[in-house]
Order: sequence, then C-alpha cells, then structure tokens
Amino acid sequence: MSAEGRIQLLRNGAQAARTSAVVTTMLALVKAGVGFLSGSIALLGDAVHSFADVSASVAVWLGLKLSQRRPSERFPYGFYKVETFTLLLVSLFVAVAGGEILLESLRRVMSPSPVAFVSVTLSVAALSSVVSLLLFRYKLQIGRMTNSQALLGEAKHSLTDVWSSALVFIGILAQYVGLAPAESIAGLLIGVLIIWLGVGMGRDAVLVLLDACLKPELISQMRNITNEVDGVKGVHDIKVRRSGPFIFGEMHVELDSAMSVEKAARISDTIEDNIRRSIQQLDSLLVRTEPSKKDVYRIAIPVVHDGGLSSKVSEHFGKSPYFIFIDLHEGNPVSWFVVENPAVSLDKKRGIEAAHLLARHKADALVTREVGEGPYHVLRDSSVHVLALNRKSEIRQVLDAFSRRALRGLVPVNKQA
Amino acid sequence: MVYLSLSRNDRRLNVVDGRTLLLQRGVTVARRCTAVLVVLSVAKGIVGIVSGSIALLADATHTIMDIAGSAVVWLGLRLSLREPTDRFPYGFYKAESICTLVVCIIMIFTAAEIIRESIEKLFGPSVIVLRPLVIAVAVGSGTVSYFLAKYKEKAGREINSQGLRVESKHSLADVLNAALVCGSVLLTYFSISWVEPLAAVMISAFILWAALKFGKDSIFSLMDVSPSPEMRHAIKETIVGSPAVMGVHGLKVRRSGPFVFVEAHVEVDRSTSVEKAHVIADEVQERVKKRFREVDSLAIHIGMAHDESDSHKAQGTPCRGEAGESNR
Repeated sequence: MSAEGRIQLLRNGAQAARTSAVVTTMLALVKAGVGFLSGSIALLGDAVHSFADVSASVAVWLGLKLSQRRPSERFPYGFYKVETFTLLLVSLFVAVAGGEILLESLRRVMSPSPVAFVSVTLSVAALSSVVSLLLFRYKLQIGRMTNSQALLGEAKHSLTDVWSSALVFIGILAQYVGLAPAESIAGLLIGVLIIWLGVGMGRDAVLVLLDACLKPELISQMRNITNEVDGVKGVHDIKVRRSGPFIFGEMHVELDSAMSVEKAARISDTIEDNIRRSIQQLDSLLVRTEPSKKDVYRIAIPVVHDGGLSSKVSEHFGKSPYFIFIDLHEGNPVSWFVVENPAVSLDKKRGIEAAHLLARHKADALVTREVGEGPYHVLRDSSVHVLALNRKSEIRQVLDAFSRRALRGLVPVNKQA
Repeated sequence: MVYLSLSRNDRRLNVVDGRTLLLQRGVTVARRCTAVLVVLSVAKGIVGIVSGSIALLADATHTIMDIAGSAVVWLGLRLSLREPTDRFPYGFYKAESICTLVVCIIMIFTAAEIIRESIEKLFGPSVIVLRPLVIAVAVGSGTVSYFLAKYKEKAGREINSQGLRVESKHSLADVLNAALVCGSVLLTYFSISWVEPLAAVMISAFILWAALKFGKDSIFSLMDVSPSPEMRHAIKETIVGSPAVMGVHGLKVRRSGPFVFVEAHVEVDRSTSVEKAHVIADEVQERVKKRFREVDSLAIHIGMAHDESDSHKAQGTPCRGEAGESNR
C-alpha cells in the first residue's frame, strides 16, 4: 500500500470517529436528562458512560488527526504512536468513569429509591441499546478496514454500550415489577464492566508503547511468504512491532552466498512487495541478506521413472517425466523424494516450467545432460546451480562425482546457434 | 532474589558488552536510593508526630511520594534488564520510559499537593514545638536528599537513564523543601507568614518544570524519537567510514529507554557477493557499536550504490522496482 493509501485509511478512521462522537453525544444528553428527571442511577450511569465515550472519541479523533503527520527528521518513524497515547488516555478515562458509577450505585443499593416516568425511561434505554448496536457495527467495519486499534477499541466500547443500556432496561423493569434494588444493581454491573474494559484497553496501549509483538501469527505469515520467494534459502530473526495502526518489520533472509548484491536487492524487494500485498498495515520492512548456512544440500536429477535412488537418469530436462530431489549432508544422501514433472505434457516452455518446479522445491543444484537458455536463466535467478551430467551415469555415481566436486558447470544450449 | 535473577541474566548475556552491567548499576542505584528514602520517611514521620510540626509531617508524606517514584524507576530499570522474548522482540528497554512517565505524573501530583498545603497554611498557621529538633531533622534530611540527588544524577547521566535523572530533580526539590522547613521555623518566630507559601509555590514550580521536561522526553522516547542530529550525523559518518561502504541512506535512529536502535540502507558495489556483503554489514555493526556504546542493535540492509529504486526507500515510500517483477 502506498503512503497515500495509508493516509486515506487514516482519514476514513477519522471520519468514523467523528460520526460516532456526534451520535454518542446526542444519546448521552438524552440519557442524562431522562436519568436526572426520573432519578434512575442506572440510566444516569449509562449517560456518564456515554459521555466518557464522547471524550474517548474526541481523543481518538485527535490522535488519528495527529498520526497523519508525515515522518520528520526528529521522528523518523512517523507520529503513529500519538494514536497509542490517546488510546492510553481513553482507557484511563473509561476506568475512572467506571469507578464513579460503581461508587454511586453502591450507595443506591444501600438505600434504594424509586424510578419515576418508567415508560419514558424504559424506551430511552431501549433506544440507546439499539443505536449503540448500530454504532458498534459501523465502527467495527471501519476499524477493521483501517486496522486502527483505537477505533476497534471504540467499537468494543460500543458493544458494552449495547449491553449496559440493555441492563438498564432490565434493571428498571425488574424494579418496577417489585424487585427493589434491581436498578441500582444494574448500575453496579455497568460500573464493573466499564472498569474492566478500561483496564484492558490501557494494557494494549502500554504493550504497543513497549514495542511488543501483539500478533505472533504475523511472524509465521511473513515467514511463509518469504520462503515462497524464489532464491530464498531460509529466513530467521523476524521482528515486528506496532506503531499506532501500522507495523514495522525486520528480518534476516538467507541467500546463496555467491549471489550478487544486485540480485539480492531484487529478492529483498520482491519479499517486501509480497508481504505488503497480504499484510497491508506494513509500513516498512528491512531485509538483511545473509549467506545461507544450510548444511543440507538439495540436488535435483531428472529421472525416467519413480524408482528411488536406483531410478534411471533421464537424458532430458524439460521432457523428463520425473525429478528426484536428494538431500545431501556432508556428501551422504540423508533423504530423497520424487516429483512428477507436470511440464512434460506441455507443448512449449517445458524447460521453463520444469525450472520453476525445481525452484519451488528449493533445489540447490541440478545435474542434467542439457538445458535451454530460458530455463537456465530461471534456475540461475533462483540460485540453482546447473551442473553437467556425465554420460551413462547412475544416481549413485552422480552423487559420488558431486561430493568429489568432479561435476563441472553446464553451459546452456543456445537454440539460435 | 534480585541478585539471583541478575546472575542468570549475566550468564546468558556475557557477550553483551557493558550495557547489561550499566543497567545493573542503575538497578543498584535505584534500589539503594529507595531504601534510604524509606528510612528517611520513617524518621521524619516519627519526629513530626512527636513534635507536632505540620511541615515535617507534610515532608514525610512527600518522602512517601519520593519512595514511590524511586521504586517505580527501580522497577523500570529491572524490567529493562529482561532479555527479548517472542512477544517483546526489541527487549524491555521502553519499560524505563514508561516508568519515567509514571514518576513525572507522581511529581505533578506532588507539586499540586504542595500548593494546596501552602494555601491552607496561609489561612491557618500551625503552632510548632520542639524547634531545635525540627531543624535538626530538616537539616539531616536535606543533606541526605542532596547526596541522593548527586548520586542519582551521576548514575543517570552515566547510564543515560531519564528515570534516574528525573528522580534526581525530585530529590533536589526535597533539599529545597527541607531548607524551607528550616526557614519556616525562623519565619514563624518573626511572625512573617507570607514568605513560606510563596517559597512553597516556587518549589512546586520547580518540580512541575522537571516533571514536564522529563515527561516530554519519555513520551518522545515512547514515540520513537531520533536522538540528537549530531549523534545521527556521527553514526552516518561512522558507517560511511567503513571500508567497502559507498554510501548510506534511509538512516533511522530511535531511542528505546536508555539505548538506541539503528537501521540503515548501506550501499556497496553491485557485484559484491552476498557473503562479502554480510561481512561488510558485520563490520559496520562492529564499528558503530564500538563508537556508540548506547547502540543496542543495528538493522542493516545492504543495497547497491547509485540505484534509483533504492533511493525511494530512503523517503519511506515502498519501492516497486521492475526488477522485482521479472523475478517471478
């Protein structure tokens, strides 16, 4: 995603936060008025809750606004963490508001007081519940799209609004029916709910400020994507940290030690592009290339049938029906597997397809009689060494010659020549 | 218990130069200061109750705030000693910044409390008995605080811990407070009542200043602020000075607690092999770490010199070289 795309996402987030703030303010005013007139602590508590929401929304909006500033010399990683700080502030706010409601409800439980205008109070609670549900779905959707933690936190908060308003409804109804402190107990539960929510949000914000990796599954996802890139022999030390809605990453990638930096840079770019395609919130990725430290060497040989290590070696490359892949450790075969060549049924570009097959199976070397120029370049780009097959060899002889380093490099056949 | 966990870290981190040792020094300093403050607070409280000196009693409560601050810094430094985990791949250095922030908040409350008390005092001056004892305790506690302040400032600068440094200012405020207690006894003797509240307000202004200054620093650190432009420049020069390095771009430096993380795109000749490039990157890393001991780690991307698609990266925009496509 381009920088402009990221800014656009932030704008959508800001828009959602604004809409939510306006709607919640109206809800809070209505609830506060009715709660005050009817003397319902639960509804009043719900109003306090909504007011806390509004302040939270305003804080998030401010945070997102500030996050849009471009990185500066002083802040080379941008201002994304302003959003995290606002989230921390919001969570403190929420926890304090919850504490207030809790205390007031406790007082009411001790000395219950009746609720006036029951029908109006009940309908306000119901209305608040439904509107909160709509807001929740709206913010969840935008939050997922922009991957804004603050907005997702807000959405969760709206869900709590739904429950707390429903709880107010039940509490007042129960009290009306004759269960005396039910309404105050509802207020009590609302208070506990809000405190718990605030603490959870604050915890997440602190973790982000500590550069924690909040989603370990991102690491395995990045590892898989990287391993699929041709020429990559291994990947390790993947580090990911979050900053506001975005993530920064770094990783060490193992490549063939003889590969040029030019080629390595191209592979790094491919890795970055591929990861960015599936992890859109990636802001930047730093790839450090390293020579491969693999002690197992995978060698591929075209064979005419699937007969394990005693298979007959094929004279062809692209037209060969099978390939055997043998893993050598200190010159000795430790394991092997045979793969059918799907390219054999093709009319043209058989060699190219076969070369891609070898790259997919991470072969380090290919021993073959002949190879065309196209496949040869594919293999070289994927760091597969192409070695010449001696006439009338069996697999064991090939392996033997290989470990004695008696195989020479193969020059591609130029079809024009 | 502390020693146990540290020695375990020691064994695993024996390669990690002096940084762990520095942090351990910070932990020791913070722990000692906390212990001294506990003793001081208890002493002041006892004398305050016996003598009925409101000023001394108030001072004892301030010392409790000091203990809290000192303990938080101790906690922060201890946490930063932890080794990186899967969940915290960059280590726990930022715990120090968060704890510094908490100390700053405590200090803001302290300042507010001092102002509130001095206003109360303005309307109802207290009667103080046992004046010589009060002065003796104030002088004693002031002296202790002074040495604590010096000790923390020195260690704080040495290991680059903002937490210890803000705590040093906190102790300095205690020195001023003790001086004020001595002064107030004399002032009450001469029946001048307005000087003490004024001095108290000035002390709280000092505390506020320190809290805001270091609070800003810790927030900036949590926001991945770059250290001084001079340091950035010096790091750049060190990297470029390495043999085989033709240039550097996209240099990003960020603070994390007392330490610094660096990432850079280092340019070498395009025909260099990956193996050679790796050696070059290691060399660059060694050079920078040797010269700047606060550098915790360097992430180095080796790229080609004079490459256009790479220079886009320097500006933070993703690079989509056509070369990357042809690879697939």
